[in-house]
Amino acid sequence: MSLSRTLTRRQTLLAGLASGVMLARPRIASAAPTEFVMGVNGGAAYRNLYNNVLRHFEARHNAKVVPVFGSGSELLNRVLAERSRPTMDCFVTFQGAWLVGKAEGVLEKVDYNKIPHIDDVHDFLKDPDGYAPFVNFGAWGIVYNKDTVRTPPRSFKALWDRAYDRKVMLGGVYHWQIHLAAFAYAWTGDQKNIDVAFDKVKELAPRLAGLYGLSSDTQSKFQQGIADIAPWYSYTAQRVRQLGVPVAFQMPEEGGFLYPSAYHAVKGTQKVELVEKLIGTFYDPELQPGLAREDGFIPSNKKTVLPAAVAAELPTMEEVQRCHHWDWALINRDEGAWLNRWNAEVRRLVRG
Amino acid sequence: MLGLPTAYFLLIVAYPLANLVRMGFSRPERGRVFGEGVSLANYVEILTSELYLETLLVTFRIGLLSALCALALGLPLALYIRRAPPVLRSVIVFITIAPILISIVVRAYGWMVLLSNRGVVNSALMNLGMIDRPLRLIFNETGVVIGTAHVLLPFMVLAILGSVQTIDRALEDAAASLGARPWRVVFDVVLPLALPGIAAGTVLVFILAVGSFVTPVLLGGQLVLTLPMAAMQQFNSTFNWAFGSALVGVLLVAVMATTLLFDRVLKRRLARLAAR
Repeated sequence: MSLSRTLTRRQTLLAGLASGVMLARPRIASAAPTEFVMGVNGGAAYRNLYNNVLRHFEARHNAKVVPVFGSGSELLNRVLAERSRPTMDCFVTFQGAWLVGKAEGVLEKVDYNKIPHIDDVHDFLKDPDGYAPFVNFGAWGIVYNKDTVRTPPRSFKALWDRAYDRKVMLGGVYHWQIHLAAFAYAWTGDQKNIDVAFDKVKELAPRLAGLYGLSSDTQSKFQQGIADIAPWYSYTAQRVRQLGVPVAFQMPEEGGFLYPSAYHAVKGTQKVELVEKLIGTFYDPELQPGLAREDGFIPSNKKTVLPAAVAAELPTMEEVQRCHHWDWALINRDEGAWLNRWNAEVRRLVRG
Repeated sequence: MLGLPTAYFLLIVAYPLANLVRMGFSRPERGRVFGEGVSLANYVEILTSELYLETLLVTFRIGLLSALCALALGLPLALYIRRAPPVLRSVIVFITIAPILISIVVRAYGWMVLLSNRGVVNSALMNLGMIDRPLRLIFNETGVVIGTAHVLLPFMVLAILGSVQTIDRALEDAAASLGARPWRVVFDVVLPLALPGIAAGTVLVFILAVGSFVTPVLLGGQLVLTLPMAAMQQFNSTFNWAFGSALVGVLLVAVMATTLLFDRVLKRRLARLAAR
C-alpha cells in the first residue's frame, strides 16, 4: 500500500497546517516543563525552599527544578570545576563565595529590569555590578538554649564571662573566619584588628564547650546538650526551633552581622531569564511570610507584611539597620594565613 | 586488547591524579582560585611547617591505630566465622558487613550518642559508681579511632576471611594429632598461613583510615586535624585549590611510600617463614 493511496489531499493540507501552527507557536508543541538545574542546600532547608518558593516557581513558569545538593562552598567549587562545561543553571552562594565567583568569572549577570518586585527590595541586597541580588538574609548573632541558659549573653563580648564557661561553642572547620572578623570588630571596632581577635579567642578557647561544623552538626550539639550557646545565624536558629530544639536568637548589643544569600546564574547557562523569574518569585510578598515562618528569613521585600507571631520571632528592621557587613574582601584576601594560625594556635587550646 | 584497559586507566585514574598534582605546583594570587606557572612553594610550605608535619603525623597515627583496632577485633571474628556452621557463618558475615549499608554520618552520630559526656557509656559507668566524672571518649583522637575502626572493620574481616578459608583443615588436624594445644595450632599454623590476608586487611584499613574525612570531622569534634580535613579546608573554606592539591599530593606520596615499605617487610617475613 503506497503513501499516495492512504493520504488524501485534504488530510495532507490539514497536517501541513497543524505543523505550521506548531512551528509558529513552539509552546504548543512543547508543553513539557523546562528543566532547571539548581544548586541548593539540602535537608530541611530544601524542603522549606521547595514548599515556599520552588513549587510556585515551577507552576508559574512551566519549569521543573532539578536540585543539586551541597553547601554554598561545595556548589561554587563544582561550578569552578565545570567552568568549561557547566551542568547547573544557577546555584546558591553566600557573600564570600559570591566574590570568589565574580573574580573567577563563573557568574552570569542578570537584567534587574526583568526581576519582578525588584523596586521593593532593600538596596543593600542589590549588586552594583549587575550580578544577581541577594534573595534571603538573616543576622549572625548569638543563639542559645533557652531551657538551660536563663540569662543569655547580650553581646559578643559577654561570651567571655565566666558564667558561660563550658557552654559556648564556636565554628570549627567552617565559619572560623567570620568569628575572627566579628570578634575583632566587637573588641576594637575594626575588623582588620585580627591579632586582637586571635588573642581573645585563645583566651576563650580553653573554656569552650567545643567547636561546631555545618548546621546539622550545630543542631546536633544543641540537642545533645554538648553546648548551650553559639554565635550562629538567626534563620538557622528559626529552622532548628521549628524542629523542636528550644533555641532563641539574641541580637548582640554591638550589632549582629548580616548574612545574605543569592541564587546566581552560572556563566554559560541559556536560562538566565528563568533565574530572573526565580529571584522574582523569592521577592513575592505573598510567599515571603512562609519563608520567614519556616526558615527565619527576614523579608527582603519592603512591602511584605508578616503575621505578628512570625515577626516576633525575627530580628526587627531597627535591629537589622544596626547590623554590620563583614569585610569579605579582607577575609577572602587574608583567610589563608588566618587558617594556619587558627589551626596552629586556637584549635589545640580547645578541650572539647 | 591492552589498549582499552590502559585508556580506561588513564582516563579514570591517571588524568584526574595528574591534574591534581599539576595544580599543586601552581601558586595563585591571594583571594584567587587558579594560578599560572610552576612553583614548589606549596610543597616547601607544607614540608617546612610544623603544623602540617604534625597533621601528617596525627593522620598516620589515627590510620595505624584504627588498623590495629580493626585487626584486633577482625582477626578473632574471621577465625570464628571460618569454624562456624554454614548457616551461622552466613548470618555473622551479614551482620559484620551490614554497617556498610548504613551512612557513615548516621553511624558517627550513633557513636556520639554512645560516647559523649552525657552518652550511654558515661552515664552507665557513672550510675554504677565506677567513675566520678565522664571519660573523654569523643571529640579527640580516641573517638576518631573508635569510629574509624568500626567503619572499616568489615574490610578487615573480609580480607582475613578470604585468606583463612583457603587453609587446609588437615594441617590443623595434623598439628593437633602431634600434641599441639589449640592456641598453638592457631599461632603456629593458622596465623602464618593467614598472614597475606592479615597484611592485605591491615594495609587496606590503614589506607582507608588515613583518607577518611567524615568520621574524623564528626567524632573529632573539629578538634582533631587530619590531612584530608586540612585539604578540605583549603578547597571549601579558602578556595585555595593549589594548596589543597599539594596537601593531597603529600598524603598520596606518604601513603604510597608506607605501603611499599610494608609490602617489602612482609615479603621478607613470608620468605623467612617459607624457609622454616
